[in-house]
Amino acid sequence: MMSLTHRLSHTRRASALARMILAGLCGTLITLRLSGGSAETSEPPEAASEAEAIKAFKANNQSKFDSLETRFEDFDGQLEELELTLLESQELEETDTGIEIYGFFDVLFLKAFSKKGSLLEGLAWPSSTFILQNLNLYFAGQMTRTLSSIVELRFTFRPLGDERQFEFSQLGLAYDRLDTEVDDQLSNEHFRLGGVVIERAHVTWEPIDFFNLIAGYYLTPYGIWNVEHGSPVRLSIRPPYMQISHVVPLAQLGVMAYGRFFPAARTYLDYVVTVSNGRGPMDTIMDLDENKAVGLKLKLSYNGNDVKLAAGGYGYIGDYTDIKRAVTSVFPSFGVRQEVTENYTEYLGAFDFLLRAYGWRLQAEYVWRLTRYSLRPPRDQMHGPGYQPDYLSIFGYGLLAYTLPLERWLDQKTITTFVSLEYSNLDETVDLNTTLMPILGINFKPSEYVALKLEAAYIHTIHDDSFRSWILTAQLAVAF
Amino acid sequence: MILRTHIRFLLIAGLWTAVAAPRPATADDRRDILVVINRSIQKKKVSIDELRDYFLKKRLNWPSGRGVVPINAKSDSDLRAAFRRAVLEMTETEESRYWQDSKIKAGAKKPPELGNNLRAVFKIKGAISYVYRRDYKEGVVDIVLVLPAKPAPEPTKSEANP
Repeated sequence: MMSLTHRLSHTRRASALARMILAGLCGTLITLRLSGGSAETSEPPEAASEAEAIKAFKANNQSKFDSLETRFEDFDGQLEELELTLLESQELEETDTGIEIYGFFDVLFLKAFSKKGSLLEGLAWPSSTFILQNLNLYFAGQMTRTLSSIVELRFTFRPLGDERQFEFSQLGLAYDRLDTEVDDQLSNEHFRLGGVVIERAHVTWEPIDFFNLIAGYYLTPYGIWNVEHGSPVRLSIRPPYMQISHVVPLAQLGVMAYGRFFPAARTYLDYVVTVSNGRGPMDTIMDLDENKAVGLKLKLSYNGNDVKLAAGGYGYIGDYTDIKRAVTSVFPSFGVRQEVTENYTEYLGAFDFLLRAYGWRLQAEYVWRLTRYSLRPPRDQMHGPGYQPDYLSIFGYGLLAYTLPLERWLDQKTITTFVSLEYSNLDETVDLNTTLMPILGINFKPSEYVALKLEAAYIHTIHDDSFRSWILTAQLAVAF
Repeated sequence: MILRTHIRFLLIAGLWTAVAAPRPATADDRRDILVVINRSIQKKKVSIDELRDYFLKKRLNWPSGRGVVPINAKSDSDLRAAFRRAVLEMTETEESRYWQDSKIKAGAKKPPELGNNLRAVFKIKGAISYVYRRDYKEGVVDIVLVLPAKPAPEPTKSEANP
């Protein structure tokens, strides 16, 4: 602001100086004209020719003066215009642009075909169904050029239909499914309550490329699809099972520092450091131990004309601690004791690779997690008696996609076909958990706001026939 | 000997005049795209790769640390279409998709679009934009890159469907 004002006043001074010079030149011209007039009376023949010369000189220079005058007037006009729009420029430079609201939603149609007598026949839903899976609203604010905030909320019909308990007659357990229907006592109307999930809510400070900060609840910067968040952006319908099973926390509450270096043209080296509550029974409310989870991501990418390449890795170490609180005495004084009921440390490594070239897309993600207990809980009923041992989780998938070269017929609409193979093993101490899932799909994007997807997936366990099912899914994802 | 030296001098001078003397601007020259920056930025040159990074917000700061303010021409203008093709290597839809996806992924905002880029770059510290040579005014902003005019651009959407 200061600099611009200074420049404007400086330019104005230059303009004034030029006007003075112009006035001086005009004065000289007038003097010449007057002296020419007196010469005419004393020496008529020579004077006549001199008068002609002066007249020509005047005519010639007058047009130049006029042109200069016009240019200076134009220049003054431009300066005035610039001053008038100074306010507008300041708005662009430093302004709070208000809040921007946008989002996406998707609708699914799903049908599972399970093998008769398999475990999945009982677990999967028997009928085809429509599902409104995501309705995410974003509230994005840009307070200053370096300070912004984003809140992403996911609205859901859940917890309606949440199955809390299967019937298990040997243990005397009854089937329990949550019904969220309530009664408006004023109108006597019945309606079902839904829920809101906070996907992320953070403030971002971006002062310089190599060091930026995020504070709040942020998406864990691992892999590809967890960062490329949202069904309109993702190529496939379902996120990989590594995301669904939360083998890496999808989001963390804490701070994140990140930055970018430019080692060569079109080449980026990104780093991210995360410090958070880590995982816990109520980590989004508070941490139940002093050990903060730390993570580091490094990613190298090349963004060429025809070839785009990226490879990254994220490492994470965090403690999970659960506690209970018990009243120890009431009299003579009230006492409460805290007791740790479960504690483990998880060591995580996530790797991703993405190559895009000439319409092809090859991507892979791999996650490895070691869970090491210091205080073991009883084992899950499905996994047998005793206590939960330390275990390894391994997830990975590879995806190959090709965008058909149909620009001539479809203009900018794209059709992308893809195949992928996904491997999941949530707990290597349990055979049941090892599954393979090949997927064949197609993604049609008629515009940047809409994606239509269709995919067929075949899920099956490796060690036995308990899980064998075809799942056909269609999805309409809309950004707005 | 002296005469020969004079002739050689005249020949060299004539050749130099033919090669280096300013030639009159042609219609194509007037459609050269000049990449211009605000004078607060102490930078003499910007490569196409850097330019692409600035306009896709992959790079947010000038080397001095000042924030980059990329300013686009109006979306449906010839100038924007030419810049998009020469620098971003994208079509209008691809650029639109890029920003839509970036918004969903990380809340990114696309650069502002203005009618008078030259004026905006003159006024805004850290600003970078582009203008046709015919619209350029001497001494207002600094030129850091010249993108020579290319043969007739493909029609933009608004031109194709008026």
